[in-house]
Amino acid sequence: MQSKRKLKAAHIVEALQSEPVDIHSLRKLSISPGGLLSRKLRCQVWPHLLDVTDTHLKCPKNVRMHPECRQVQLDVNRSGGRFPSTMPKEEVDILQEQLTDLILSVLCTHSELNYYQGYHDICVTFLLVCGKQLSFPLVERLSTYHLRDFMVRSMDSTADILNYLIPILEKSNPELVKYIEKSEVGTLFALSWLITWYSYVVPKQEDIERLYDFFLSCHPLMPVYFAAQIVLDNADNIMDGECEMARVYQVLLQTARKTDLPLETLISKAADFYIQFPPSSLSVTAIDYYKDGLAMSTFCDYALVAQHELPDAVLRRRGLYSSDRTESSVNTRPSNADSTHWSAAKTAAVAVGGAVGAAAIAGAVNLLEWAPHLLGYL
Amino acid sequence: MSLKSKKEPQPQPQRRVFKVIVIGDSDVGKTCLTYRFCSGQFQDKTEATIGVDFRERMVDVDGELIKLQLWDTAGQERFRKSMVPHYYRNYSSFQNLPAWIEECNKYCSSSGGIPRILVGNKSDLKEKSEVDTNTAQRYADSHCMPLFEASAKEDKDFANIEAIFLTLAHKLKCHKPMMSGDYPSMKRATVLSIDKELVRKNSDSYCANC
Ligand SMILES: Nc1nc2c(ncn2[C@@H]2O[C@H](COP(=O)(O)OP(=O)(O)OP(=O)(O)O)[C@@H](O)[C@H]2O)c(=O)[nH]1
Ligand SMILES: [Mg+2]
Repeated sequence: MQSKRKLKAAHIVEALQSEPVDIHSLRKLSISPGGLLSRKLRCQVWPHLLDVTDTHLKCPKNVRMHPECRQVQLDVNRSGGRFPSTMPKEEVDILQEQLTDLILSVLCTHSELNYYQGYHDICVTFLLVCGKQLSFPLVERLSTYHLRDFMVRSMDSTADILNYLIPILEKSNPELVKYIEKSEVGTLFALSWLITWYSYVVPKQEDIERLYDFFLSCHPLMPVYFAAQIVLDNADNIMDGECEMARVYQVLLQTARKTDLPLETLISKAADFYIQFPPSSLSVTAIDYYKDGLAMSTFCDYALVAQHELPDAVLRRRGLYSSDRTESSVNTRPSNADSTHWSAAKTAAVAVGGAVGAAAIAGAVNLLEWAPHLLGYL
Repeated sequence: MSLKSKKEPQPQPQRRVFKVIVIGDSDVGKTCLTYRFCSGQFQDKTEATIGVDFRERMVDVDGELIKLQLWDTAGQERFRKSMVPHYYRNYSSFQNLPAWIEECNKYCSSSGGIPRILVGNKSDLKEKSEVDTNTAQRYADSHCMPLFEASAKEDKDFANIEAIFLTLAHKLKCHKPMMSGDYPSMKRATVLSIDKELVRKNSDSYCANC
């Protein structure tokens, strides 16, 4: 095990040192089991995953004058639980000040981005891994690409993105979807998962960082595919009891908070699902949203999958599956892949290819409106 | 996050469930208050609530065991409403109350006149209060809401907090007869709104509709 880690670390360093940097391998290594292994490697690789070349971006001045300063401080003040329990209080205080500045610096640089409660949770991880200097350009990039849809003024786009969850679940467990729909629980339970990239719910910081390796290398909808896997993994539990909104909501909320979340398996399965059912293959409603100008929709599905061919067939034809030369890798559908059976082909198919773009849409929505079931009892 | 009361007996299909929706500005103490009620403890280290959290507790209302479901919502405005820039600096949660109440009315009107309760939290910080009790009382009166002041922090105030939720449960129980077509464990929702400005500089507000 230890030697495997060492070997992987060596591969990561090798990819970093090649001229030019082997970004393709870095993405694959970030996705495959264990991700980037350590903080030291993360701060070297994450800038490449985000395509950040200028790591010395200058911070804007007077950031504390930003109108959202108060809300940011309220949230940062309550973020103490995210720092290691062994860290001395003085150090936490310093980091929290840096956290406030980091968030406000991004907001001051991009007046079109709106702060939301939960954004601070994502920033904590960057600060812990990369330190304040490097975090700013990284979070700035992340916010304008992956998180952009969450940061438009209204929450419509966020709701649209959550709407992908049901069609993904449907592909694997229609019975569960029927149950969830009958309970009228909606998808609100996954809101905090999505907009904090699981920082709000996954208990272990090292797991959060490993998840970031994965998400940073993938299409921005991957966190929704991951949510689907958590839900699917708990299907029995969810359906075991009265089909009633509050109970189902509560069970669903808890599923991501488990300390024994089978992270690597879930990651592997989320990736399989992404290959088998890329965003463009999802239900008509979701496709409407997809075309409708979400920043996320400007990320292309991996080219192979966009041709609507079964991914394993495509991969096989291209000889990609032969990389691990076992019979099962040819016959087994990707959905059966065990986390130890990652093929280079699979990671390649999942890793987001090239250019990213963004589009903002505006509108008005009220949380209570898009969770009408919650108030439906009134 | 939800905590069941220890005295919960065997499940009874006939058990009624009341829903309480807790709304109010960020940092007023919605999470602390509901946590205190459900667990008896003051949660020292809360995090900003993202989305909607859920807690529950059984209460005895005139001999009937009723399950109170508390929906603890995020305070940030964008979660509730998307509107013209509204800056949080110099805001007062007490001044935001009309917006909260309007929101309640919007969603509660269908079932007609759902009772609300107004809670001024952080009463332990009374000396810092910018809103005096009289002002708060007048406001609550004008909207036909009972006003409570409470502290989620002070252990000795626990009974008071229980009283708030029991009042709510009581109001719900008496509020209106069950509609035909509802099944026995029919759910009713209440909205509890909290205002902290009642009792300190940045007031906390809770708006409870029963
Ligand atoms: N002194 C005092 N502090 C309190 C009391 N209740 C809550 N607090 C503190 O006020 C802060 C906010 O409390 P929360 O319960 O997280 O506030 P919230 O209304 O849930 O905030 P959001 O989740 O952002 O909407 C925390 O730091 C609490 O420790 C109280 O009764 N007295
Ligand atoms: Mg809260």
